[in-house]
Amino acid sequence: MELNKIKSNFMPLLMNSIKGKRNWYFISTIIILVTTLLVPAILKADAEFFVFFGIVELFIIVYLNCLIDNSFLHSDSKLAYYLSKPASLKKLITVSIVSNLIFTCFLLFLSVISMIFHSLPDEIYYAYYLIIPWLITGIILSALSSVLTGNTIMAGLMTIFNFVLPWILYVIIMFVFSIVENIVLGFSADVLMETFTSVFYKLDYLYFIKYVEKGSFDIYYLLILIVIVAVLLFILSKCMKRRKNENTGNFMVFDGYKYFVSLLASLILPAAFTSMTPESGVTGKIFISIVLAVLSYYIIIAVLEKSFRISFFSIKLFAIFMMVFIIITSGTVLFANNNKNFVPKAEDVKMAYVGNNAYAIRQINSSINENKEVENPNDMEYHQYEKTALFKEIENIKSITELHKELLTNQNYGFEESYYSSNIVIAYWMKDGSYIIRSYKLNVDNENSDDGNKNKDLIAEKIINSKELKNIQYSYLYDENYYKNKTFYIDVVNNKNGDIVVKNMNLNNIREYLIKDVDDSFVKSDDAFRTLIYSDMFYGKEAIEVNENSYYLEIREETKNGVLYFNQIYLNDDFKNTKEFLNLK
Amino acid sequence: MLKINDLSKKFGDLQVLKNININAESGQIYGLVGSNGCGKTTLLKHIMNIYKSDGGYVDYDGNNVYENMDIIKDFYYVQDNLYFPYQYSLNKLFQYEKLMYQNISQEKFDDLTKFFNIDINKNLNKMSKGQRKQAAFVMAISAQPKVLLLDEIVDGLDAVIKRKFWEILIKEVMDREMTVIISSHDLKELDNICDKVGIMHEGKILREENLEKMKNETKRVQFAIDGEFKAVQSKEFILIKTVQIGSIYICTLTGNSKAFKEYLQNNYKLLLFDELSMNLEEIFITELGGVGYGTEQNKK
Repeated sequence: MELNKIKSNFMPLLMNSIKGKRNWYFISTIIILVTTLLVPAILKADAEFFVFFGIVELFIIVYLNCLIDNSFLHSDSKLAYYLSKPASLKKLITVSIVSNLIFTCFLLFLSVISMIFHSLPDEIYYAYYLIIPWLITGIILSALSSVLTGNTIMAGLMTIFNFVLPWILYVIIMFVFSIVENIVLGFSADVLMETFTSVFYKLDYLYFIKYVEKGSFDIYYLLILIVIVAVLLFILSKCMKRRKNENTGNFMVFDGYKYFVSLLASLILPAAFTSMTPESGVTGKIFISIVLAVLSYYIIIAVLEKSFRISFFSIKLFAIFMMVFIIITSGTVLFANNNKNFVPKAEDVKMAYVGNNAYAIRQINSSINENKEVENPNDMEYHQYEKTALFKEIENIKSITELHKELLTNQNYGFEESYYSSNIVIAYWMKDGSYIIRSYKLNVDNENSDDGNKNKDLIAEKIINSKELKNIQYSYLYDENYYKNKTFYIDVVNNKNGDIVVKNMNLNNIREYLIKDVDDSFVKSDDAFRTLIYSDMFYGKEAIEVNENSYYLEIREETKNGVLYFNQIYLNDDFKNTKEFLNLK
Repeated sequence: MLKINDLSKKFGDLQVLKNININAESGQIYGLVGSNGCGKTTLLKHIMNIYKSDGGYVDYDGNNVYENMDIIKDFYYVQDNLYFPYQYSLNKLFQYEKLMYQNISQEKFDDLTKFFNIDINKNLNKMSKGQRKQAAFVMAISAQPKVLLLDEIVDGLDAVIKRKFWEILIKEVMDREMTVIISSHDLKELDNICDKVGIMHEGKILREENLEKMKNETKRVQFAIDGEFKAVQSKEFILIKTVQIGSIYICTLTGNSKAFKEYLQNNYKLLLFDELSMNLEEIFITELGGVGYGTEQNKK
């Protein structure tokens, strides 16, 4: 009975904590309402900006409150006072968490009032899919960080560190992949990371960014939130039990956590360095990375231990960590190395891509993954406009595998270098559902690249003149299913002065001439390979001489939502029939 | 009864508590005395489970405190380095602690604040050190704990207030059979109120005894003999320390002082023999001197 009485002091303690915050409630209400309601209303300024500014303030206010409430853990006398009372550390922390959650709800309510007052669009409310879980986890993480540390400033820093911990791991994994990229031909760190994050390490879900993009939430949203909260509370509970209160006043209370932070942080600087210098050599990069890692670790340990004399144990731990890191990196390199020369058989490939748009391919692949099965990927909204060609015909797939083999043996190709044009991506979507992507960087050597150019140009020429590519590039000319429910208009524009000589002509009038011209056109280029990887440089895409007699077509699709810019065709010599119909010289 | 069994603690590589064993009976005032940095505060924090021990446990009335933390509701700890919540007055502090101590007495609180003449609405953090000590003491007594731990509670207090403190404390112990453990360097004060004393040094309890028994066991004699006295060992007494001032010898010994007198009579011509009374401070110095503390010679 008496025990129950003691246990029941949770609510009175909570009420006492809320009462103790009344000044915070008052001042925060003023800050939020002035920022989000009064200022934009009086100044007639962008309400959306001020509401978001208010949310940033909200985060800061909640963050400060959490740190202040848990600061009793960081002073010997405060801690001794509170822990000597018949309220356990668990209860005190729980009171602090619940009290701050209630305070946060109140502040969120104020921000919603402002949004309603300004009649902001519904999409703005989607931000709450992210804000609410971030605040909840932030409050728990702040408590956890306060338990782990012995100093309030350090608790604040560690709250941020713990919050971005999945991103720190991301940076370290990216570091491993960048080493792989530097050592193994055909592997791109961006592509590897993209695959890793889309398949295993779904940070967009972990941070709820995906739900803001989607604009809706589902059962998984709640499930993810529950799991994150449960895991954090479990860790918090374990840490509370094991807290070494005698270390209060030190930067870190737990030695294990101190080394965990130091070791991870020691890799951030080398990782950032390598990402900033993508062009430098691999040996130099590895050497500098090791030096930076050692230096960072020493400085972090020296700061945390408040001594420049580093213990033997710290050195031993760092050596073990680096060994593990090297083993993991070497394992990844070995695995990649075993697969670097693999080129699939054309018969096993369902669909293939060659070009330089790695981003588009990653987008397409993630769409394919999400939708499981896409009947015709070339119809997907994304590359309706980008015209990223995905080849399904066996001849083109064969040509791509040939080009792939050529790239494995010879990466030379002479042309004017630019960042985009020197990176080649080859991707295969296999019949068994798997996906292969390789990335190559061309050695742009104009003097010694004749052999490299010849083979690549010959293979590329076959692809760029294929019927399949024409169909993909000009679906509004060749694909009747695509065309039948759409309305296209054409403007004929002078290439020199921009004058529109023909306006709003229906595509129907000119379509047969355009088809004939594209059918007949054949790109026999000395730099067919370059044309291929610049996917927007096919027929009628190459800029023509600027003079009074040169013209281009602006082709627009008209939809219910208005006029949509769609395509542009330069009327070069290949477009004889079209020019004749339009009475152009 | 509060019992500490084999309590040990290491801070890093430093062993701060070494197999501490203490027994404090109900209705007893236990004085915890020791050299500076010997671990008194650390021990008190272990009793309250603020610090977790590496080994050993604290037992109260047959219950392991570490396994049943609800027992702590009957304990009250007043630390040396006092802390009060920000902007709290004594009245507000009382209201706060009322949420946690079920036996807290408003009547006692009112009586004590009047007795000590404390302004209950004054911000505690704006009070003087002495006033803050009084406020903390008032809270501790008002909470009516079964075990009260006081760390350097009379440090910095004037003699009148000290007298008031002891008066209240003794009354509470007698009325409610409360167990009190007081850690202090003011040995003269403890000498007057303690029933039992534990002497600590370098994380160890050197000696734990009822104060009266301790005084009876450790004796100081002064004597004069014809000739030079040579230290001797006997089954009936142990000479701890001998000091010669002129022709007078002062010896601290444990055991039978009469047997020592007989030894002197049998072996020397005894000119003078007086038995002096020992106080806690002298016993403390003697005990610590026995382990080499404070016996270092100034080379100058």
